[in-house]
Amino acid sequence: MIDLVHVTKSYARVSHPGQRVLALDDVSLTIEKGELVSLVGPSGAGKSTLVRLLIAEERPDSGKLLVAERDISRLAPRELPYYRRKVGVVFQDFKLLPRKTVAENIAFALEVSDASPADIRERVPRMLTLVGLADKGANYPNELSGGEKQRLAIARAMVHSPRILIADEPTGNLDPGTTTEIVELLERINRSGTTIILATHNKDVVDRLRRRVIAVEHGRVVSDRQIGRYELPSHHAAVGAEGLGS
Amino acid sequence: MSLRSLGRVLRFGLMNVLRNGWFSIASIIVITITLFIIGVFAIQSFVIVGTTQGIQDKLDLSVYFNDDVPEEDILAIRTAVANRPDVKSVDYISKERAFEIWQERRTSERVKSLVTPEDNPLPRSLVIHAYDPGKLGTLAKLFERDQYQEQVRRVSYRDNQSVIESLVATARSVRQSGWILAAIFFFLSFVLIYNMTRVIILSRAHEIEIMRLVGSTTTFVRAPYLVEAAVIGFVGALLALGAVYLFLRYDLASATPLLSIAKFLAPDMLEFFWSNLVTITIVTLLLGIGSTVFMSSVAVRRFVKF
Repeated sequence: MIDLVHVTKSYARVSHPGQRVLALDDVSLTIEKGELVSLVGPSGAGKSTLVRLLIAEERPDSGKLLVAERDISRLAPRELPYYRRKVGVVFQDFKLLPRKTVAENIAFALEVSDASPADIRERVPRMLTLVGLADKGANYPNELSGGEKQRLAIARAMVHSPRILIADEPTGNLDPGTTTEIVELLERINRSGTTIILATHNKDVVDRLRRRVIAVEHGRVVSDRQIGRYELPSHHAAVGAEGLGS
Repeated sequence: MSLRSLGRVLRFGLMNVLRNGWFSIASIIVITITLFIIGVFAIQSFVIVGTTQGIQDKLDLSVYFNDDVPEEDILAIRTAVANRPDVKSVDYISKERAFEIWQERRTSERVKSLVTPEDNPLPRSLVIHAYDPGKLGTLAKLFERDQYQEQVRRVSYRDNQSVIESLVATARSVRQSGWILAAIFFFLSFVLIYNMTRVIILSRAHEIEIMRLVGSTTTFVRAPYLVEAAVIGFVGALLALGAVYLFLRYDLASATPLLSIAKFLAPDMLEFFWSNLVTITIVTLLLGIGSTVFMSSVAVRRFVKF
Protein backbone atom coordinates (compact mmCIF):
# COMPACT_ATOMS: atom_id res chain seq x y z
CA MET A 1 0.00 0.00 0.00
CA ILE A 2 2.66 2.48 1.11
CA ASP A 3 6.36 2.06 0.26
CA LEU A 4 9.11 4.45 1.26
CA VAL A 5 12.32 3.62 -0.57
CA HIS A 6 15.46 5.40 0.68
CA VAL A 7 13.56 8.63 1.32
CA THR A 8 15.62 11.63 2.38
CA LYS A 9 14.25 15.06 3.17
CA SER A 10 16.05 18.17 4.41
CA TYR A 11 15.02 21.75 5.06
CA ALA A 12 16.95 25.00 4.64
CA ARG A 13 17.98 26.51 7.99
CA VAL A 14 16.50 29.96 8.27
CA SER A 15 19.03 31.00 10.93
CA HIS A 16 21.99 29.74 8.89
CA PRO A 17 21.46 30.51 5.20
CA GLY A 18 23.08 27.95 2.95
CA GLN A 19 22.88 25.18 5.57
CA ARG A 20 20.28 22.44 5.65
CA VAL A 21 18.86 20.36 8.46
CA LEU A 22 18.14 16.68 7.80
CA ALA A 23 14.55 15.72 8.73
CA LEU A 24 14.47 12.22 7.21
CA ASP A 25 17.65 10.30 6.53
CA ASP A 26 17.42 7.39 4.06
CA VAL A 27 14.14 6.01 5.41
CA SER A 28 12.76 2.80 3.91
CA LEU A 29 9.59 1.12 5.16
CA THR A 30 6.48 -0.65 3.93
CA ILE A 31 2.94 -0.39 5.27
CA GLU A 32 0.44 -2.99 4.08
CA LYS A 33 -3.17 -2.40 3.20
CA GLY A 34 -5.47 -2.46 6.25
CA GLU A 35 -2.69 -1.94 8.82
CA LEU A 36 -2.95 0.39 11.81
CA VAL A 37 0.54 1.73 12.38
CA SER A 38 1.66 4.00 15.19
CA LEU A 39 4.50 6.33 14.31
CA VAL A 40 6.29 7.38 17.48
CA GLY A 41 9.26 9.52 18.35
CA PRO A 42 10.25 12.69 20.18
CA SER A 43 9.71 16.20 18.86
CA GLY A 44 11.78 16.87 15.76
CA ALA A 45 12.28 13.16 15.09
CA GLY A 46 10.75 13.38 11.64
CA LYS A 47 7.17 12.17 12.27
CA SER A 48 5.54 15.33 10.95
CA THR A 49 7.84 15.39 7.92
CA LEU A 50 6.76 11.84 7.14
CA VAL A 51 3.10 12.86 7.46
CA ARG A 52 3.64 15.89 5.20
CA LEU A 53 5.32 13.71 2.58
CA LEU A 54 2.45 11.22 2.68
CA ILE A 55 -0.19 13.90 2.12
CA ALA A 56 1.95 15.37 -0.69
CA GLU A 57 2.50 18.66 1.12
CA GLU A 58 6.22 18.15 0.63
CA ARG A 59 8.40 16.30 -1.85
CA PRO A 60 11.42 14.22 -0.81
CA ASP A 61 14.93 15.33 -1.80
CA SER A 62 15.63 11.79 -2.97
CA GLY A 63 14.07 8.34 -2.84
CA LYS A 64 10.68 7.01 -3.85
CA LEU A 65 7.36 7.42 -2.08
CA LEU A 66 4.96 4.85 -3.47
CA VAL A 67 1.29 4.84 -2.52
CA ALA A 68 -0.72 2.09 -4.25
CA GLU A 69 2.35 1.60 -6.49
CA ARG A 70 2.30 5.20 -7.66
CA ASP A 71 5.23 7.52 -6.89
CA ILE A 72 3.43 10.45 -5.29
CA SER A 73 6.53 12.62 -5.25
CA ARG A 74 6.12 12.85 -9.02
CA LEU A 75 2.47 13.89 -9.05
CA ALA A 76 1.69 16.94 -11.19
CA PRO A 77 0.04 19.84 -9.31
CA ARG A 78 -3.30 19.18 -11.02
CA GLU A 79 -3.21 15.55 -9.83
CA LEU A 80 -2.73 16.49 -6.16
CA PRO A 81 -6.39 17.22 -5.34
CA TYR A 82 -7.44 13.77 -6.59
CA TYR A 83 -4.66 12.11 -4.60
CA ARG A 84 -5.64 14.01 -1.43
CA ARG A 85 -9.20 12.73 -1.73
CA LYS A 86 -7.80 9.20 -1.39
CA VAL A 87 -5.82 10.10 1.74
CA GLY A 88 -7.79 11.47 4.70
CA VAL A 89 -5.89 13.48 7.28
CA VAL A 90 -6.66 14.76 10.77
CA PHE A 91 -4.54 17.06 12.91
CA GLN A 92 -4.11 17.93 16.57
CA ASP A 93 -5.69 21.37 15.98
CA PHE A 94 -8.73 19.91 14.13
CA LYS A 95 -8.60 22.51 11.29
CA LEU A 96 -12.33 23.21 11.23
CA LEU A 97 -14.06 26.21 9.64
CA PRO A 98 -15.48 28.15 12.59
CA ARG A 99 -18.19 29.96 10.60
CA LYS A 100 -19.66 26.80 9.17
CA THR A 101 -21.88 24.36 11.04
CA VAL A 102 -20.84 20.77 11.71
CA ALA A 103 -22.80 19.54 8.67
CA GLU A 104 -21.50 22.40 6.50
CA ASN A 105 -17.89 21.61 7.44
CA ILE A 106 -18.35 18.13 5.98
CA ALA A 107 -20.44 19.32 3.03
CA PHE A 108 -17.75 21.90 2.19
CA ALA A 109 -15.20 19.13 1.57
CA LEU A 110 -17.63 17.58 -0.91
CA GLU A 111 -18.64 20.89 -2.53
CA VAL A 112 -15.05 21.84 -3.38
CA SER A 113 -14.53 18.37 -4.84
CA ASP A 114 -17.39 18.86 -7.30
CA ALA A 115 -19.73 16.34 -5.62
CA SER A 116 -23.38 16.43 -6.67
CA PRO A 117 -26.02 17.82 -4.27
CA ALA A 118 -27.60 14.36 -4.05
CA ASP A 119 -24.23 12.89 -3.11
CA ILE A 120 -23.73 15.57 -0.46
CA ARG A 121 -27.22 14.96 1.01
CA GLU A 122 -26.49 11.25 1.25
CA ARG A 123 -22.90 11.33 2.54
CA VAL A 124 -23.03 14.09 5.18
CA PRO A 125 -25.53 12.37 7.51
CA ARG A 126 -23.76 9.04 6.98
CA MET A 127 -20.46 10.54 8.13
CA LEU A 128 -22.09 12.26 11.10
CA THR A 129 -23.61 8.94 12.15
CA LEU A 130 -20.25 7.19 11.71
CA VAL A 131 -18.59 9.51 14.24
CA GLY A 132 -21.61 9.84 16.54
CA LEU A 133 -22.46 13.45 15.79
CA ALA A 134 -25.81 12.85 14.07
CA ASP A 135 -27.61 15.18 16.48
CA LYS A 136 -25.00 17.99 16.25
CA GLY A 137 -25.23 18.79 12.53
CA ALA A 138 -26.60 22.29 13.09
CA ASN A 139 -24.09 23.24 15.81
CA TYR A 140 -21.01 25.37 15.19
CA PRO A 141 -17.52 24.02 16.02
CA ASN A 142 -17.16 26.36 19.02
CA GLU A 143 -20.20 24.65 20.56
CA LEU A 144 -18.45 21.26 20.49
CA SER A 145 -16.13 19.62 23.03
CA GLY A 146 -12.54 18.80 22.04
CA GLY A 147 -13.42 15.16 21.39
CA GLU A 148 -16.42 16.13 19.27
CA LYS A 149 -14.26 18.52 17.23
CA GLN A 150 -11.81 15.72 16.52
CA ARG A 151 -14.64 13.37 15.59
CA LEU A 152 -15.92 16.02 13.18
CA ALA A 153 -12.41 16.30 11.69
CA ILE A 154 -12.35 12.52 11.27
CA ALA A 155 -15.81 12.57 9.64
CA ARG A 156 -14.57 15.17 7.17
CA ALA A 157 -11.39 13.21 6.48
CA MET A 158 -13.50 10.09 5.77
CA VAL A 159 -16.02 11.83 3.52
CA HIS A 160 -14.29 10.76 0.30
CA SER A 161 -14.02 7.17 1.60
CA PRO A 162 -10.20 7.32 1.53
CA ARG A 163 -8.09 4.17 1.50
CA ILE A 164 -5.63 5.72 3.94
CA LEU A 165 -6.30 7.86 7.02
CA ILE A 166 -3.38 9.77 8.49
CA ALA A 167 -3.80 11.11 12.01
CA ASP A 168 -1.11 13.55 13.18
CA GLU A 169 -1.29 13.78 16.99
CA PRO A 170 -5.08 13.45 16.95
CA THR A 171 -5.28 13.17 20.73
CA GLY A 172 -2.70 15.85 21.54
CA ASN A 173 -5.34 18.30 22.80
CA LEU A 174 -7.66 15.80 24.44
CA ASP A 175 -8.17 14.47 27.96
CA PRO A 176 -7.61 10.71 28.62
CA GLY A 177 -11.32 9.81 28.47
CA THR A 178 -11.82 11.55 25.12
CA THR A 179 -8.56 10.12 23.84
CA THR A 180 -9.97 6.61 24.36
CA GLU A 181 -13.09 7.56 22.39
CA ILE A 182 -11.03 8.78 19.45
CA VAL A 183 -8.75 5.75 19.46
CA GLU A 184 -11.79 3.46 19.49
CA LEU A 185 -13.22 5.37 16.53
CA LEU A 186 -9.95 5.00 14.63
CA GLU A 187 -9.89 1.26 15.39
CA ARG A 188 -13.46 0.95 14.11
CA ILE A 189 -12.54 2.76 10.88
CA ASN A 190 -9.49 0.52 10.52
CA ARG A 191 -11.64 -2.61 10.92
CA SER A 192 -13.69 -1.45 7.92
CA GLY A 193 -10.51 -1.76 5.81
CA THR A 194 -8.94 1.71 5.93
CA THR A 195 -5.19 1.81 6.46
CA ILE A 196 -4.38 4.10 9.40
CA ILE A 197 -1.13 5.84 10.23
CA LEU A 198 -1.18 7.39 13.67
CA ALA A 199 1.65 9.79 14.50
CA THR A 200 1.64 10.24 18.26
CA HIS A 201 3.52 11.03 21.43
CA ASN A 202 0.93 9.34 23.58
CA LYS A 203 2.41 6.27 25.27
CA ASP A 204 -0.95 5.10 26.65
CA VAL A 205 -2.56 5.16 23.22
CA VAL A 206 0.25 3.16 21.62
CA ASP A 207 0.48 0.65 24.44
CA ARG A 208 -3.28 0.13 24.47
CA LEU A 209 -3.50 -0.49 20.71
CA ARG A 210 -0.88 -3.28 20.71
CA ARG A 211 -0.43 -2.90 16.95
CA ARG A 212 2.60 -2.21 14.76
CA VAL A 213 4.84 0.57 16.12
CA ILE A 214 7.50 2.37 14.07
CA ALA A 215 9.86 4.51 16.14
CA VAL A 216 11.65 7.41 14.48
CA GLU A 217 14.60 9.34 15.90
CA HIS A 218 16.90 11.89 14.29
CA GLY A 219 15.21 11.27 10.95
CA ARG A 220 15.84 7.50 10.97
CA VAL A 221 13.66 4.48 11.72
CA VAL A 222 15.17 3.09 14.94
CA SER A 223 12.71 0.27 15.56
CA ASP A 224 9.78 -1.37 13.79
CA ARG A 225 7.78 -3.99 15.73
CA GLN A 226 4.64 -5.76 14.62
CA ILE A 227 3.11 -5.72 18.10
CA GLY A 228 4.91 -2.96 19.80
CA ARG A 229 4.90 -0.64 22.75
CA TYR A 230 6.01 2.96 23.07
CA GLU A 231 9.75 2.45 23.37
CA LEU A 232 12.56 4.59 22.04
CA PRO A 233 15.95 2.87 22.23
CA SER A 234 18.07 5.95 22.81
CA HIS A 235 15.60 8.46 24.14
CA HIS A 236 13.88 7.10 27.20
CA ALA A 237 13.17 10.59 28.39
CA ALA A 238 10.58 10.86 25.65
CA VAL A 239 8.48 8.22 27.38
CA GLY A 240 5.80 10.12 29.18
CA ALA A 241 6.34 13.30 27.21
CA GLU A 242 2.67 13.22 26.29
CA GLY A 243 1.04 16.43 25.21
CA LEU A 244 4.08 17.96 23.58
CA GLY A 245 3.75 19.02 19.96
CA SER A 246 5.73 16.95 17.50
CA MET B 1 -15.48 23.29 -15.19
CA SER B 2 -19.00 21.95 -14.85
CA LEU B 3 -22.01 24.25 -14.54
CA ARG B 4 -22.39 23.04 -10.96
CA SER B 5 -18.80 24.00 -10.11
CA LEU B 6 -19.25 27.36 -11.80
CA GLY B 7 -22.34 27.98 -9.67
CA ARG B 8 -20.43 27.09 -6.51
CA VAL B 9 -17.43 29.24 -7.45
CA LEU B 10 -19.78 32.19 -8.09
CA ARG B 11 -21.53 31.58 -4.76
CA PHE B 12 -18.21 31.37 -2.84
CA GLY B 13 -16.98 34.55 -4.57
CA LEU B 14 -20.12 36.51 -3.75
CA MET B 15 -20.03 35.27 -0.16
CA ASN B 16 -16.41 36.48 0.05
CA VAL B 17 -17.45 39.99 -1.03
CA LEU B 18 -20.02 40.13 1.76
CA ARG B 19 -17.74 38.52 4.35
CA ASN B 20 -14.93 40.99 3.69
CA GLY B 21 -17.20 43.99 4.06
CA TRP B 22 -14.52 46.61 4.72
CA PHE B 23 -11.96 45.16 2.34
CA SER B 24 -14.56 45.09 -0.40
CA ILE B 25 -15.69 48.66 0.28
CA ALA B 26 -12.10 49.95 0.33
CA SER B 27 -11.30 48.14 -2.93
CA ILE B 28 -14.46 49.48 -4.57
CA ILE B 29 -13.56 53.03 -3.51
CA VAL B 30 -10.05 52.71 -4.96
CA ILE B 31 -11.36 51.35 -8.25
CA THR B 32 -14.08 53.99 -8.39
CA ILE B 33 -11.58 56.81 -7.90
CA THR B 34 -9.18 55.36 -10.48
CA LEU B 35 -11.84 54.84 -13.12
CA PHE B 36 -13.41 58.22 -12.35
CA ILE B 37 -10.13 60.03 -12.92
CA ILE B 38 -9.39 58.01 -16.04
CA GLY B 39 -12.94 58.64 -17.24
CA VAL B 40 -12.84 62.41 -16.75
CA PHE B 41 -9.43 62.70 -18.38
CA ALA B 42 -10.31 60.42 -21.25
CA ILE B 43 -13.52 62.32 -22.00
CA GLN B 44 -11.70 65.63 -21.61
CA SER B 45 -8.95 64.41 -23.89
CA PHE B 46 -11.42 63.22 -26.53
CA VAL B 47 -13.33 66.51 -26.42
CA ILE B 48 -10.15 68.59 -26.64
CA VAL B 49 -8.70 66.43 -29.37
CA GLY B 50 -12.04 66.57 -31.21
CA THR B 51 -12.22 70.34 -30.90
CA THR B 52 -8.61 70.96 -31.86
CA GLN B 53 -8.86 68.43 -34.68
CA GLY B 54 -11.82 70.39 -36.05
CA ILE B 55 -9.90 73.63 -35.81
CA GLN B 56 -6.72 72.11 -37.16
CA ASP B 57 -8.56 70.78 -40.18
CA LYS B 58 -9.63 74.33 -40.92
CA LEU B 59 -6.12 75.67 -40.57
CA ASP B 60 -4.54 76.48 -43.87
CA LEU B 61 -1.95 78.65 -45.52
CA SER B 62 -3.05 81.17 -48.15
CA VAL B 63 -0.46 82.51 -50.54
CA TYR B 64 -1.67 85.61 -52.43
CA PHE B 65 -0.10 86.49 -55.78
CA ASN B 66 0.48 89.79 -57.49
CA ASP B 67 -1.88 90.47 -60.37
CA ASP B 68 0.95 90.58 -62.93
CA VAL B 69 2.03 86.99 -62.33
CA PRO B 70 0.97 84.72 -65.26
CA GLU B 71 -1.55 82.05 -64.30
CA GLU B 72 0.71 79.25 -65.64
CA ASP B 73 3.36 80.29 -63.13
CA ILE B 74 0.91 80.02 -60.26
CA LEU B 75 -0.31 76.63 -61.51
CA ALA B 76 3.31 75.46 -61.78
CA ILE B 77 3.94 76.50 -58.20
CA ARG B 78 0.71 74.70 -57.20
CA THR B 79 1.93 71.46 -58.81
CA ALA B 80 5.33 71.78 -57.13
CA VAL B 81 3.78 72.36 -53.71
CA ALA B 82 1.15 69.62 -54.14
CA ASN B 83 3.96 67.11 -54.82
CA ARG B 84 5.46 67.67 -51.38
CA PRO B 85 4.81 64.69 -49.04
CA ASP B 86 3.68 66.90 -46.14
CA VAL B 87 1.03 68.68 -48.21
CA LYS B 88 -2.50 67.30 -48.12
CA SER B 89 -4.07 69.55 -50.77
CA VAL B 90 -3.53 72.75 -52.69
CA ASP B 91 -6.47 74.70 -54.10
CA TYR B 92 -6.10 77.43 -56.67
CA ILE B 93 -8.41 80.39 -56.06
CA SER B 94 -8.84 82.38 -59.26
CA LYS B 95 -10.05 85.98 -59.32
CA GLU B 96 -13.58 84.73 -60.17
CA ARG B 97 -13.58 82.23 -57.28
CA ALA B 98 -12.21 84.88 -54.92
CA PHE B 99 -15.09 87.14 -55.97
CA GLU B 100 -17.62 84.35 -55.26
CA ILE B 101 -16.15 83.71 -51.84
CA TRP B 102 -16.24 87.45 -51.13
CA GLN B 103 -19.89 87.56 -52.00
CA GLU B 104 -20.70 84.46 -49.93
CA ARG B 105 -18.97 85.61 -46.80
CA ARG B 106 -20.04 89.20 -46.64
CA THR B 107 -23.46 90.09 -45.32
CA SER B 108 -23.38 93.84 -45.79
CA GLU B 109 -24.57 94.85 -49.26
CA ARG B 110 -22.41 97.93 -49.08
CA VAL B 111 -19.28 95.88 -48.52
CA LYS B 112 -20.36 93.38 -51.18
CA SER B 113 -20.72 96.18 -53.74
CA LEU B 114 -17.14 97.28 -53.20
CA VAL B 115 -16.02 94.44 -55.44
CA THR B 116 -17.58 93.72 -58.83
CA PRO B 117 -16.57 91.27 -61.56
CA GLU B 118 -15.45 94.21 -63.63
CA ASP B 119 -13.52 95.89 -60.87
CA ASN B 120 -12.06 93.01 -58.88
CA PRO B 121 -9.00 93.86 -56.78
CA LEU B 122 -9.05 90.48 -55.00
CA PRO B 123 -5.76 88.65 -55.60
CA ARG B 124 -5.43 85.09 -56.87
CA SER B 125 -4.19 82.65 -54.25
CA LEU B 126 -3.17 79.10 -53.42
CA VAL B 127 -4.82 77.59 -50.32
CA ILE B 128 -2.53 74.93 -48.85
CA HIS B 129 -3.61 72.26 -46.30
CA ALA B 130 -0.86 70.26 -44.57
CA TYR B 131 -1.21 66.79 -43.00
CA ASP B 132 0.28 68.24 -39.82
CA PRO B 133 -0.89 71.80 -39.20
CA GLY B 134 2.34 72.30 -37.20
CA LYS B 135 4.20 72.17 -40.53
CA LEU B 136 2.37 75.16 -42.01
CA GLY B 137 5.11 77.43 -40.66
CA THR B 138 7.77 75.61 -42.70
CA LEU B 139 5.63 75.88 -45.81
CA ALA B 140 5.08 79.60 -45.20
CA LYS B 141 8.84 80.10 -45.05
CA LEU B 142 9.17 78.63 -48.57
CA PHE B 143 7.32 81.63 -49.99
CA GLU B 144 9.56 84.08 -48.19
CA ARG B 145 12.48 83.07 -50.43
CA ASP B 146 13.88 85.58 -52.91
CA GLN B 147 12.61 83.67 -55.93
CA TYR B 148 9.02 84.36 -54.91
CA GLN B 149 9.53 87.96 -53.78
CA GLU B 150 8.31 89.38 -57.11
CA GLN B 151 5.32 87.08 -57.33
CA VAL B 152 3.92 86.74 -53.78
CA ARG B 153 1.98 89.62 -52.37
CA ARG B 154 1.25 88.16 -48.93
CA VAL B 155 1.26 84.91 -46.91
CA SER B 156 -1.63 84.55 -44.47
CA TYR B 157 0.06 82.23 -42.03
CA ARG B 158 1.85 84.95 -40.09
CA ASP B 159 -1.47 86.37 -38.89
CA ASN B 160 -2.50 83.11 -37.20
CA GLN B 161 0.91 81.76 -36.27
CA SER B 162 0.70 82.14 -32.48
CA VAL B 163 -2.86 80.79 -32.27
CA ILE B 164 -2.01 77.76 -34.40
CA GLU B 165 1.12 76.90 -32.46
CA SER B 166 -0.49 77.22 -29.02
CA LEU B 167 -3.47 75.14 -30.12
CA VAL B 168 -1.24 72.35 -31.38
CA ALA B 169 0.82 72.45 -28.17
CA THR B 170 -2.28 72.41 -25.90
CA ALA B 171 -3.79 69.43 -27.65
CA ARG B 172 -0.52 67.56 -27.31
CA SER B 173 0.07 68.34 -23.63
CA VAL B 174 -3.50 67.60 -22.54
CA ARG B 175 -3.32 64.22 -24.17
CA GLN B 176 0.05 63.48 -22.56
CA SER B 177 -0.84 64.67 -19.04
CA GLY B 178 -4.12 62.73 -19.17
CA TRP B 179 -2.37 59.48 -20.01
CA ILE B 180 0.37 60.06 -17.46
CA LEU B 181 -2.20 60.66 -14.71
CA ALA B 182 -4.20 57.60 -15.81
CA ALA B 183 -1.02 55.49 -15.71
CA ILE B 184 -0.16 56.73 -12.20
CA PHE B 185 -3.64 55.88 -10.92
CA PHE B 186 -3.57 52.49 -12.58
CA PHE B 187 -0.28 51.75 -10.88
CA LEU B 188 -1.65 52.93 -7.51
CA SER B 189 -4.78 50.84 -7.84
CA PHE B 190 -2.69 47.84 -8.88
CA VAL B 191 -0.56 48.15 -5.74
CA LEU B 192 -3.68 48.52 -3.59
CA ILE B 193 -5.68 45.67 -5.11
CA TYR B 194 -2.62 43.41 -5.15
CA ASN B 195 -1.96 44.07 -1.48
CA MET B 196 -5.59 43.76 -0.48
CA THR B 197 -5.86 40.40 -2.24
CA ARG B 198 -2.64 39.35 -0.54
CA VAL B 199 -3.94 40.34 2.90
CA ILE B 200 -7.26 38.58 2.23
CA ILE B 201 -5.45 35.44 1.10
CA LEU B 202 -3.13 35.50 4.12
CA SER B 203 -6.10 36.05 6.44
CA ARG B 204 -7.74 33.01 4.89
CA ALA B 205 -4.63 30.83 4.97
CA HIS B 206 -6.44 28.50 7.38
CA GLU B 207 -9.40 28.05 5.04
CA ILE B 208 -7.16 27.60 1.99
CA GLU B 209 -5.13 24.97 3.84
CA ILE B 210 -8.32 23.08 4.70
CA MET B 211 -9.51 23.31 1.09
CA ARG B 212 -6.27 21.78 -0.13
CA LEU B 213 -6.33 19.04 2.51
CA VAL B 214 -9.85 17.92 1.60
CA GLY B 215 -8.90 17.63 -2.08
CA SER B 216 -10.21 20.87 -3.49
CA THR B 217 -9.09 21.60 -7.04
CA THR B 218 -7.11 24.77 -7.75
CA THR B 219 -10.16 26.25 -9.43
CA PHE B 220 -12.18 26.12 -6.23
CA VAL B 221 -9.42 27.76 -4.23
CA ARG B 222 -8.45 30.44 -6.74
CA ALA B 223 -11.55 31.22 -8.80
CA PRO B 224 -13.68 32.67 -5.97
CA TYR B 225 -11.02 35.40 -5.53
CA LEU B 226 -11.38 36.28 -9.19
CA VAL B 227 -15.18 36.36 -8.87
CA GLU B 228 -14.76 38.62 -5.86
CA ALA B 229 -12.43 40.89 -7.86
CA ALA B 230 -14.86 40.96 -10.79
CA VAL B 231 -17.71 42.01 -8.49
CA ILE B 232 -15.53 44.76 -7.00
CA GLY B 233 -14.51 45.92 -10.49
CA PHE B 234 -18.13 45.86 -11.70
CA VAL B 235 -19.49 47.86 -8.77
CA GLY B 236 -16.50 50.23 -8.91
CA ALA B 237 -17.08 50.83 -12.63
CA LEU B 238 -20.78 51.58 -12.14
CA LEU B 239 -20.03 54.00 -9.31
CA ALA B 240 -17.32 55.66 -11.42
CA LEU B 241 -19.79 56.15 -14.29
CA GLY B 242 -22.25 57.75 -11.86
CA ALA B 243 -19.49 59.94 -10.42
CA VAL B 244 -18.38 61.08 -13.89
CA TYR B 245 -21.98 61.96 -14.76
CA LEU B 246 -22.48 63.95 -11.54
CA PHE B 247 -19.12 65.66 -12.02
CA LEU B 248 -20.07 66.85 -15.51
CA ARG B 249 -23.72 67.50 -14.76
CA TYR B 250 -23.08 69.75 -11.77
CA ASP B 251 -19.88 71.25 -13.18
CA LEU B 252 -17.78 70.11 -10.22
CA ALA B 253 -14.67 70.75 -12.33
CA SER B 254 -14.88 74.39 -11.16
CA ALA B 255 -13.98 73.22 -7.67
CA THR B 256 -11.04 71.12 -8.91
CA PRO B 257 -7.89 73.12 -9.73
CA LEU B 258 -6.26 70.10 -11.40
CA LEU B 259 -9.06 69.93 -13.91
CA SER B 260 -9.16 73.58 -14.83
CA ILE B 261 -9.36 72.74 -18.53
CA ALA B 262 -12.38 70.56 -17.88
CA LYS B 263 -14.15 73.56 -16.42
CA PHE B 264 -14.93 75.38 -19.65
CA LEU B 265 -15.30 72.15 -21.58
CA ALA B 266 -17.88 70.68 -19.15
CA PRO B 267 -20.93 71.23 -21.40
CA ASP B 268 -19.15 69.62 -24.36
CA MET B 269 -17.95 66.80 -22.14
CA LEU B 270 -21.48 66.14 -20.84
CA GLU B 271 -22.71 66.01 -24.43
CA PHE B 272 -19.88 63.64 -25.35
CA PHE B 273 -20.79 61.50 -22.31
CA TRP B 274 -24.43 61.16 -23.36
CA SER B 275 -23.79 60.62 -27.05
CA ASN B 276 -21.21 57.91 -26.33
CA LEU B 277 -22.88 56.45 -23.22
CA VAL B 278 -23.00 52.85 -24.46
CA THR B 279 -19.34 52.81 -25.50
CA ILE B 280 -18.25 54.60 -22.32
CA THR B 281 -20.22 52.14 -20.15
CA ILE B 282 -18.80 49.08 -21.91
CA VAL B 283 -15.23 50.41 -21.82
CA THR B 284 -15.49 51.40 -18.14
CA LEU B 285 -16.95 48.01 -17.15
CA LEU B 286 -14.32 46.12 -19.13
CA LEU B 287 -11.58 48.29 -17.67
CA GLY B 288 -12.94 47.89 -14.11
CA ILE B 289 -13.54 44.14 -14.25
CA GLY B 290 -10.48 43.42 -16.39
CA SER B 291 -8.07 45.34 -14.20
CA THR B 292 -9.32 44.00 -10.85
CA VAL B 293 -9.39 40.41 -12.12
CA PHE B 294 -5.87 40.83 -13.51
CA MET B 295 -4.54 42.41 -10.30
CA SER B 296 -6.18 39.76 -8.15
CA SER B 297 -4.98 36.88 -10.33
CA VAL B 298 -1.38 38.08 -10.03
CA ALA B 299 -1.71 37.99 -6.21
CA VAL B 300 -3.58 34.66 -6.23
CA ARG B 301 -0.97 33.01 -8.44
CA ARG B 302 1.76 34.25 -6.17
CA PHE B 303 0.23 33.51 -2.79
CA VAL B 304 -2.06 30.51 -3.22
CA LYS B 305 0.35 27.60 -3.54
CA PHE B 306 -0.52 23.99 -4.19
